[in-house]
Amino acid sequence: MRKGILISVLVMLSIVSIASFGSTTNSASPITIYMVPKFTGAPYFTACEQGALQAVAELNELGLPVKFYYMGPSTANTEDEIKTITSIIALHPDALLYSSNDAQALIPVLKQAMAAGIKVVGFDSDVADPAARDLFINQVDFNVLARTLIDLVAQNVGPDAGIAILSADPNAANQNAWIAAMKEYMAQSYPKMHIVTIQYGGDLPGPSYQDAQTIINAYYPQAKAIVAITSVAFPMAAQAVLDAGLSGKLYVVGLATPNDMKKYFQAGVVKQDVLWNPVDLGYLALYAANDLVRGMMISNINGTEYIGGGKLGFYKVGPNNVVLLGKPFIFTAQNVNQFNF
Amino acid sequence: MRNMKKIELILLGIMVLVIVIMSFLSKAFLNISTLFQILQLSAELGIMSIPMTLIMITGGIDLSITSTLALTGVIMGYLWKFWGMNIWLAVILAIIVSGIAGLFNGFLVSKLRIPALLATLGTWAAYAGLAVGIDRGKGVSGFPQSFLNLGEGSFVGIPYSLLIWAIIAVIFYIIVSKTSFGMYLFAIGNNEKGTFYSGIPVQKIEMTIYILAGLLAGLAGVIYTSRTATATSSAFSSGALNVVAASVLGGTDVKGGSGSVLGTVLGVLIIALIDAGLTLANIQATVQEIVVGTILISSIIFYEYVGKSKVKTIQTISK
Amino acid sequence: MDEILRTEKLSKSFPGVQALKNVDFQLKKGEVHALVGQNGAGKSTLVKILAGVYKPDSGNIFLDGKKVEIKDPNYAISLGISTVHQSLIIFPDLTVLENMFIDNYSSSSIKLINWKNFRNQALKIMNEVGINIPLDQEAKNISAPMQKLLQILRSLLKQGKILILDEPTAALTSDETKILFENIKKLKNKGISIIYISHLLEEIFELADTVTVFRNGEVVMTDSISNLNLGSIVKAMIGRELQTFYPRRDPKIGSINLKVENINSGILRSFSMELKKGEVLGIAGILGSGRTTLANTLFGITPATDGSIFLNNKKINIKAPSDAVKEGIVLIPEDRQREGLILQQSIKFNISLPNVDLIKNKNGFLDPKKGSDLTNKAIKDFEIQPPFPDFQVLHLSGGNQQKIVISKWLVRDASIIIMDEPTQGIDVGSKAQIYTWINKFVEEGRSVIFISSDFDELVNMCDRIIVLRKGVVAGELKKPNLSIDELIALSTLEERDDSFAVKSFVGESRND
Repeated sequence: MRKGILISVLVMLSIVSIASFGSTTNSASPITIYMVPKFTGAPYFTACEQGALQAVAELNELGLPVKFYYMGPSTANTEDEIKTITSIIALHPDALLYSSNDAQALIPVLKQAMAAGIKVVGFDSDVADPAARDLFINQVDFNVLARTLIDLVAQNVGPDAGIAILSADPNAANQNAWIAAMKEYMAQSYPKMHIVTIQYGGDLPGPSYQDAQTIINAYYPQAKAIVAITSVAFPMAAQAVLDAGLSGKLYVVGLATPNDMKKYFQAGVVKQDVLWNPVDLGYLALYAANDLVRGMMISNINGTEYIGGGKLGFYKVGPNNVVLLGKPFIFTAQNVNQFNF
Repeated sequence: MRNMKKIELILLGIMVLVIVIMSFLSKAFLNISTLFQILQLSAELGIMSIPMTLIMITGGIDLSITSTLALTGVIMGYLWKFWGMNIWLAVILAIIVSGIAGLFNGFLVSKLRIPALLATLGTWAAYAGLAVGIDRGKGVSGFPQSFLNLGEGSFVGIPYSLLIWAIIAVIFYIIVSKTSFGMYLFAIGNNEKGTFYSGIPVQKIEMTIYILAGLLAGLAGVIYTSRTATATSSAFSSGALNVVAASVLGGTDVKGGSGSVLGTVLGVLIIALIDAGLTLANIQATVQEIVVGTILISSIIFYEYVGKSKVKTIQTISK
Repeated sequence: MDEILRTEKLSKSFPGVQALKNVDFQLKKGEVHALVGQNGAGKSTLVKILAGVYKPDSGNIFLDGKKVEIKDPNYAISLGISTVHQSLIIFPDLTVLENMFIDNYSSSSIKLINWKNFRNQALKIMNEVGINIPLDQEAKNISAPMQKLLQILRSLLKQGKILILDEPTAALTSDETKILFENIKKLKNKGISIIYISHLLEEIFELADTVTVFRNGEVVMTDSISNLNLGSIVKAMIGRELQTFYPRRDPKIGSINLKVENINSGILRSFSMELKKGEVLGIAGILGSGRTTLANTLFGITPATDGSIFLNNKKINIKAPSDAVKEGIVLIPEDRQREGLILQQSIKFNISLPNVDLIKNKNGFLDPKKGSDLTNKAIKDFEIQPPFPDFQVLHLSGGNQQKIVISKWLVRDASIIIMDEPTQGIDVGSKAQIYTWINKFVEEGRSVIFISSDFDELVNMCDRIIVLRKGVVAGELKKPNLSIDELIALSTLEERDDSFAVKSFVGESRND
């Protein structure tokens, strides 16, 4: 009886010691990564977080443990984002992922983070100064996205359509870049197509809905298409068109997560939804941060740098340290139910 | 009438408590340079909350100051970038404009007798619109390093913006507690008519505090522009209510007649420390908002029912 | 006639003042019963007890012979006692009909309003009392007496048996008053009992059946109007025993100090006056005569629109109170709690407020010690109780509050002090002290403008009295020819054809 207890205790002790021994030898020491979205609570950024969490799980299995935190302001507020990042710097994590609310205002605080030895990787929305971060993961080429949207308008409304754009903030970097690219592409390929108005809904549902109503009341039918280029504005624009009974008459296209748009596909007010895969975006951003911190999976082939993006493969690091995730994806009524984010 | 000495003491106690709890939650918190980094982000709010306290003591409010802040930055940036003006000259001119914005508020409130809430709600929208109109959503950046030093630099380890805030706080502490001007503010807040009947130039005093609010919002705008290295019409979008909240937490009575500069400074510090501390403890922003909101409501309830001067209220009957 | 209401030994006191002492009062069915007396004599207190605003300290009220306890205004209304207040409470943009039923449909918001039913009720009651007001007119478009009648009808709709009319003619012209009186007589004939308060004694002879005179909280006389004349009522109102109450002073009147020439301000029309050094100048007049407007004009609250003011032969420009204070002219305002004091603050704060120039140190900062010294001096000189500089003014008695208002001005070198009703609502002891200070003040060669509706104190304190009526000087009395009878006659018995002044009086009623 006594012997039995002694043996079982010994067995347990050995198991514990093997386990702890194993973890110290087979794994690298854990690193800490913070992910700061523009704001929390949006399905789009939740999808980015999901991707990052997938990457974290994979890395942990590989013996490359990552402590991951997802934190950000509750609304798209530059002030609060600066505060959050300043506090994070005080915690000295190994890497910081950000999606910036303001292309200019975040530059000083990101530089501060780099100066503190933190690897800084942008995703989704960059700042204007490439020196303020180590890498930026660009979800999609600005020009390609703009072309995709304009081509859809041309196909569905006609090459001479008047367009109303519903954007986020007047200072939002992504949206401004897309608008510029759309204008350029229109001038090239559809000279009769023109922008009737640009409204700014501030990435907030209420104002975006009101702006969509403004477009409907003041600019329809000069504007025959609404291009809503934020994930908050697109469903609101679709709702406004639906409420105004203009389904099928006023074409709405834009960028949003498929889950947000399923309802409008079903109602028939929306035919296409353009987006990249935000899950992949978060996944790649986290891998890139891990690569930078651990100095691994970075290879230099003929002067061109590549970073490893886990199951997504290797990606080229382009000029200004920008990594391009891929092409935009068009969701339609036929394929939208295959996606859940 | 609130017992401000008691309230200040309690706030000081709360601040110490917050620091102790937060440093327990996160080791990073007790580092002085970390604290300065964090508090620096509240310098603009701190600077603006001081004239707001003065206005609230008189029973008024100024919701327009955050628009004035953005407008100042945009005007300054515009003068510098598109008119090629010397940056410091642009700063001075922009602050003068902010003073004029305050003067207009003062005119609406003290001369035209429009309720301060409505008057400044109107100018809040007007000044914001003006800022957007000048800025056209583009924003100005690329400021010279000499200007950016204002937001980045420090003196013996204390960031300039914190020093400026501290100096303003001391000056206004003296004004409110040691001068006749300060005395008049409380008198106006308690009984404007009675103050006027005491031969006090009530209108001039009201005008002065709204001008001060404009000027200091302008100064805050300059500091904000320097700290974020960009002048934009969407600056300080968190809004004037945060400024009001800091004053209210600091013991200022929205009904007028009570308040203190020290209390307001403590109010700003407490909110900033809680905000940062909760982030450091990896607590989500939504939870932080609940915490700050709860503290605000409890403080108001506390001040209304416990923080009163200890004289029993007897209804005197007027015949 | 049958009795409808009776009070028995009704008493009520406020801190420092016995407002009502053992009042026995009887109201008969269908009579108009006038209550007269000087301000503070007790008539408003009685009426407020009957309307449920105040609770009596002791005594009983009997309605139709049954003892009742009127616990609040709503209960008073349910008993059939309705008060028509001096100020008009109508909604100018609503129709007459809507005004009549305003409190009916605000209390039952869930039910739909049955306008047809309301209209029938209104027509029925108007028919009963023989009054006709166009129901669909907006209230602002009907005449002033009709607006008053609208208020009265509103009371009658609630089955009012007893109507209390508090100075109903204060805002009416003579013709309008006639219309109102005719209608009041109709109500009387329908058996409604009316308690009527007025300062204008001649109205009482026109309307009242019975008169009750109050003095110092007591009923001194009740009699049928047919047994009375103006002289007997006035005599009852002022009494005789107060003569020795006033401190003696040998006036030493000097040169002209203040000269006012042809000023217009609010109700005041082309007003001129002179004030001499060492003089107490009384200003008499009924409510709305322009007394307070004069005080406010000289102090810069409502600056004169034209005319000139000279101080020691130098023309001065008074645009705001701060200008007046600089010239040494100060005001003890009528509404001491709202205009004279900062109630929430301490005695020290209140005394320091207009005197910061006296308590600054060399650097321009306030010197707390100087402030305390100044306050302690005022507390000592003016015998303020309790003698604690940090005591909140709110908790002081009316008399002590008034002492602070007076002392905050007297601690500085004012040359002219204007007092608007300085003794109203304060106790006898404080009154006597104030009289003593007035005498002391003028003995130093300074001057006092003394506004009061207590004619007794005016006659006893002043060297000269100007009587105002509807914004113009109705007369001037000089020592030794000061008499209360004369004052009452000058201020109340008016020529009722002065319609221009009357109109401006209506506009002024809010201010005065």
